[in-house]
Amino acid sequence: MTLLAVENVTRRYRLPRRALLKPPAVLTAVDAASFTLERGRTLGIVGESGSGKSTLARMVMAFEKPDAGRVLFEGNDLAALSPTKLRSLRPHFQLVFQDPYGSLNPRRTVGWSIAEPLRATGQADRNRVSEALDQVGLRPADAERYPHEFSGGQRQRVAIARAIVTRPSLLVADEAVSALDMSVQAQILNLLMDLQDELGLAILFISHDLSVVGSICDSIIVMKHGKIVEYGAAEQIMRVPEKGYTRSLMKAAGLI
Amino acid sequence: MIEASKLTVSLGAGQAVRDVSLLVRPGDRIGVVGESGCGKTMLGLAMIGMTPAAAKVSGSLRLDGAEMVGAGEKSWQALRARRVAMVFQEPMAALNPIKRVGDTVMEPLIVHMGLSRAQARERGLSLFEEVGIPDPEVRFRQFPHEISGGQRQRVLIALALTCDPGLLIADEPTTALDANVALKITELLARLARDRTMALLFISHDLAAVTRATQDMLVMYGGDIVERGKTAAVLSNPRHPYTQGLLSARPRPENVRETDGSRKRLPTIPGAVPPLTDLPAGCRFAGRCPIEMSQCATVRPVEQEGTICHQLEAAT
Repeated sequence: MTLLAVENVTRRYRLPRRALLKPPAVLTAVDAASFTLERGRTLGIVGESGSGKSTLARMVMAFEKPDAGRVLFEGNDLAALSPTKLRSLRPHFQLVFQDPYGSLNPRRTVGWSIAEPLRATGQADRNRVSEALDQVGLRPADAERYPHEFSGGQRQRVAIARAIVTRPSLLVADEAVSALDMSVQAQILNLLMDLQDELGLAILFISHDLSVVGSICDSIIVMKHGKIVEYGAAEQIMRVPEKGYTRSLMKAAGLI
Repeated sequence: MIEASKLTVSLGAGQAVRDVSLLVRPGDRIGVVGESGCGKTMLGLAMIGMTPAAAKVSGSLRLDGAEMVGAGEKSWQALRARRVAMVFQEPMAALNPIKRVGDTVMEPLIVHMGLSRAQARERGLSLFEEVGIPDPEVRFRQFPHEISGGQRQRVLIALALTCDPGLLIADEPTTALDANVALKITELLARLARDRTMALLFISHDLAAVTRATQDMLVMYGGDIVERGKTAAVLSNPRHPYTQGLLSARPRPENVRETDGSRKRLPTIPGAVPPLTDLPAGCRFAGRCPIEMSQCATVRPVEQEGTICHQLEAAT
């Protein structure tokens, strides 16, 4: 079964009212987007800010419901699930945040933060936390330390440990390497590739940087103003980008 | 003309910039690259006399012949904007939110250049045009929050140009911007430097932008300039192990993809940039270097043909 299928998904937001007697304007953040992601594969979504890529991620994570269309995870329509059913499914798809400093509780040990998704499903298992730390290249003893004791790259490892602690089959990485320095970015990209090969994870990799997406993803979606303007095998798109917009993203990434 | 020689910026026991020598001539476009914490920004701040109060600047920095190390804030004020100006990373934070951007740009023209309001307005509008702001008349009356990030960055560039500086220091001017906008701002800065024979110090971690904007480049690590040369030459034939590590760590489809569909791992530099106080006394890159020798951590390498590295010294 296809792991993740996004079918004609649309999400609109009402903008603040500009005039009393006119209806508020509506922004279509995601406009009829469709794609699929198979187990163990990597799909990249690139686009500039405001292109709708993060909105799409939030719908895949079931943080938001689409106004039209369906998000199917292992065949389940996420928006139609009961809260209980959704909670039991959540361990299978997890999010890696962009800014680990903002997403880790500074007053709790990282071990506590990593165990959070486990507690949410009532299975607080210390061994899983140690195992996850080990998988991301940290020591089990690091569980007792606090976020400020880690460097930026290590904090991103902690964020990844938290995302994989429930042994998910899908990881959504929203700008997960964008804030990192060049040499550290390479370390984290390697880690993601290692984890993927070891655990058979599928990754939905969201970034504005086509050099990153073009390197590690099997297929690529290029988004602009909420619409998918290009979707295909990474190799194909990187070799012969169809759209001028894709070409300009390549130029910005220094690829051409 | 600006000449730094053995310029050092100390922060407590650590040195954010160590013995940097640099000559900037009119029209030079110089890129400064390196990771965060390597001293790029501090070097830029030292060259405009804006280092934080806790920092101690030593060595020599000559601005048109005048020695600026040890010079007071008064002497700097007389030169800043006219001789050296700076554009910062975050355009929103650098603009006064309750002032129309036109008034912000007119202020230095009136205060520093002694223009009347009418003259300042005319000059401001022509600067807006020069930096590629559409509908300058309309933009002039708007507040920072009403305009996009790219346009805000253009306003800041116009502001930096008000007093015709000989050197423009741009510190990560494109980092906060979208890819396409960043590309346009990069091209704008390079064009301005060419058209005005103005020197440009382009500080960025974005190698693609540096390639586009500059002729020469400096690679900084741990406060040292570890390599310098023509931008194209450094990028195509990096010699310092740090530069080599940085370039090969860049994700590139050809570096990752194998023909059978599997993926290679990116070569990485082990560890991370240490805090200033933990830097080795010799070569700053010791401890992370793949070709380290026994003396590297303690003995400082000497610059040879634009790079400082014991291995390269030994080879010649």
